[in-house]
Amino acid sequence: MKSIRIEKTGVRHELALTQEHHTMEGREIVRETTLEKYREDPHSGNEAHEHVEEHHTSLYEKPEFDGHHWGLAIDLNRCIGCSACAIACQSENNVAVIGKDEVRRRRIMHWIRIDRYYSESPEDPRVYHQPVMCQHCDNAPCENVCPVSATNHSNEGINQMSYNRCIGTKYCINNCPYRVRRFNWFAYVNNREFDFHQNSKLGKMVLNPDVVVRERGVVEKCSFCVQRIQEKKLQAKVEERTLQDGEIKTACEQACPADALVFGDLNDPGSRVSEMFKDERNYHLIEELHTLPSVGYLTKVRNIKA
Amino acid sequence: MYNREVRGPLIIGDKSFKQISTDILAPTETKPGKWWFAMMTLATLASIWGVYSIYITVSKGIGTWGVNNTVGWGWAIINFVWWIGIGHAGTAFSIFLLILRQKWRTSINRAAEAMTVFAVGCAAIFPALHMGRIWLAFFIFPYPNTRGPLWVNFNSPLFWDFIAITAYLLISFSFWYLGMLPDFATIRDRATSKVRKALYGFFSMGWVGSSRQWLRFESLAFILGGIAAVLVVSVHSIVSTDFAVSVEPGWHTTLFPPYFVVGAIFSGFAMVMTLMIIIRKLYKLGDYVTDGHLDAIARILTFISLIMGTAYLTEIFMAWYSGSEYEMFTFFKNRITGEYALQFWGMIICNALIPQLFWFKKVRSSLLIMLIISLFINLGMWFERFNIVITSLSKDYLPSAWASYTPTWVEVGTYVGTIGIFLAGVLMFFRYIPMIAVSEVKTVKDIGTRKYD
Amino acid sequence: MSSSHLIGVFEDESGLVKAVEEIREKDLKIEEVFTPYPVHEVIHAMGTKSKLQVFAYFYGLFGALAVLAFLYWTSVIDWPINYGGKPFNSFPSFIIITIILTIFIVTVSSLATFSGRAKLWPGKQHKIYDLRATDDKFVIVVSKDKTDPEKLSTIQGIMKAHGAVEIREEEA
Repeated sequence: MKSIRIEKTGVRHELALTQEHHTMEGREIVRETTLEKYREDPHSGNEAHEHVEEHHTSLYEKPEFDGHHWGLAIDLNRCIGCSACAIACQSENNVAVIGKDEVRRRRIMHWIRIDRYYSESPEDPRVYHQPVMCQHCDNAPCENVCPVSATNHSNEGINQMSYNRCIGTKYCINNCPYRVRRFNWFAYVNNREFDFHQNSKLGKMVLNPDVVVRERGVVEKCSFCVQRIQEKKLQAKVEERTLQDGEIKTACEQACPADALVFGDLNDPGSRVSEMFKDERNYHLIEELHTLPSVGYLTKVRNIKA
Repeated sequence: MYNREVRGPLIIGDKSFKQISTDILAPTETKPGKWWFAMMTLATLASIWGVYSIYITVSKGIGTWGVNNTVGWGWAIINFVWWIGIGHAGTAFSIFLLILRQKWRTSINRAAEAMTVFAVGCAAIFPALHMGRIWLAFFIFPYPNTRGPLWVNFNSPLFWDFIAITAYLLISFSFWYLGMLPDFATIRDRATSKVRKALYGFFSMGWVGSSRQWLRFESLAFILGGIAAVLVVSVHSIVSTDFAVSVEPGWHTTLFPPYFVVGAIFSGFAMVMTLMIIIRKLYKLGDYVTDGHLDAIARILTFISLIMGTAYLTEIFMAWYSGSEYEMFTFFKNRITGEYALQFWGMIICNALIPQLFWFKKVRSSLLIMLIISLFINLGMWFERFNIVITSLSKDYLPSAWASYTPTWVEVGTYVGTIGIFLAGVLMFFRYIPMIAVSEVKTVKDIGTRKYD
Repeated sequence: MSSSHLIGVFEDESGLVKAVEEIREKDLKIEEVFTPYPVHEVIHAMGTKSKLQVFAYFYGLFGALAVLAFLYWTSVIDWPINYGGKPFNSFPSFIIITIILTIFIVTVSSLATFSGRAKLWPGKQHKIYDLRATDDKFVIVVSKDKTDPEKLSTIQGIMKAHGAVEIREEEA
């Protein structure tokens, strides 16, 4: 180890970060409790959820879905922040690689990102990981504002995006409180300035044939791997049987080594996702906005002395 | 109704009809001065930069701008709202003063309406440009198509906005043009060269000033005026719904429609003042645009400035009163203090404080000071829009997504370009169109003079 | 089409108004009066009425109903789409667009009506009796072919009495 020396080179390098702010500003974004408190009261750390549920009022009826109502539950206790889900999603959904320069301009393409927050002292910070993708809100703020109906709600509760219709006003990006919508700032395909896999014939062979490649100027986002949903639904129909819980796995769920993400049908009371939604630890991100997300998070329980 | 003793004559110097025509039409009938060519060169250079920036945006993509995943709207939307605001004065001036029977509007409404048309034209460039796929912009029309037919989302404020801007452009242009018909005919009938006669003959659409034409003219002016009055209020209200209908902290507020309308009229009147001072100085039309006219605009600006100040305070109060931590953060930690404090305080000082100098008679009678204050107001209004668009977006609900925004030269270029286009439009207006409504001034020439008694 | 006219030119509004009113009181026909700005007494005395405002009212009424019906049909019947959990017939947000589209319709159709009724469109040429009528003179034109010679002389007299600076006859 003696041969290693450290010296100043005078070279400056701008880091490419996807997240620049490191605290939660005291907002209840990642909710946590300690094991001790959890044993006393499973609701602990998640008191706000009940409060919000109680005060939810709306002029409109709560949206109901006849067939399926797809949902995703994320156990923050299990998430280790490895980003395997982000990479799995990227390869499943042909998400473009856009390079450091774009990230330095605070542009990212990942449909699922891992938010990372620190708390306590800077010397000995506590770390939080939180996977955030499109929350598929039943009262989605993004859908109302699109002038050309490019984004709307499917009858299975999915917030769907039709790329062919999108004219790129970016209004939906602004009006998404979770900032999970992504914009194709440039042509990321066949563009010499973005010489990544989508610029070569060989590189393009990694693209998933079930998913389209998006044009410059359109908005894209998590689709709950709608191609996988359709495939399994079709398979079940051909085999003349009902869809089983766990049959459909989204790419992020499939890749997660800790099984933190669970996808399923919220209309099926016995499904794992329904069970998790009924859990005392379950809450939704910024739920006080009454966006009615189809993604739920489970409170993080730490085994520490408070 | 009009007290001569208090307010003096509307037109100074007991002119004959002939004299009025000659005075006002002089710029269109003589060669412009050197300053005109100098300004035109400047305007053309600015427009060229603008067109080049537009070319870069359209050929390469919105990525050439500084906007990012968090701040999806940047200078383009700031400038859009800014221009639309300026574009409000013309029609507001014409219509509201017409309804209030303020005869002094006759000397100013033509220039104000011209400004409206150019400003709204400039504004319309931005929403088109900030679209990711501008070549598919026709998707926003609800036309029968082979895709279903798939109509548009009638709930979207952007769709309302699109229709409102189109209607506003159409109405303000027709109102402006209608007023010009008699004046074009005057130029046509005074013309000595064949080309002028043919050109103005074409644009005067066969106006001869017959009683039947005047009857229908007034009838149409009444209709257009009536609906434009509704439109002036609703267009900027609709622009404000682009923000107010969203969920963003600092945007989601019912205060926005009136606040935007008043703000728009504020910036528009300031621009009218700038223009009128220039017209008065450079074309020596001081007999028509009198000290009284500028004084009246200054008084109105003082009053509107107070409303603006009240609106700013109301916003801040509501942010605190709502108890919403997101709203509080946006106002107290991101605007009043924090990254964008400069723009916030710039807005307060330029819009709410500086115009209060108009309380002093001395300030209201100095052309130079009035010119400077009117420019400050427009700067302040730009800051206001920056405040609204950028600060709310950059730091909203999830701190993980917070990001700052700085524009690139392409965005600056499009802005400078629209200023160039606006300036070129105004200069062409000075040169080829009577700056003051000749036929209307003739009707008020005796008001406030001895002759009228 | 008459082709010869009696033309009276006035210097100011007051003489013109009196002349026109007197001619009309005697039930004599004036072909047309040309003024550099609208003179309401003349327009009134000439007796023509404009129905443009009535037209505009109905344009607006039918426009608003048509827009509302169109919105309802597209969003509820033709292709209902779920946007953010709002009902298909989201009437409150239809109101705004109805107002603006109505204004749009009224404007376009009133302009078209005006253009047709006042016979004004780009490039249109009208017969000009006196070039100064758009500048500083007020002009009365009476058709000679349609008026008896003795009535013509009465008209001529009235014009003179009220200070016409120029009375001439024109064959065209």
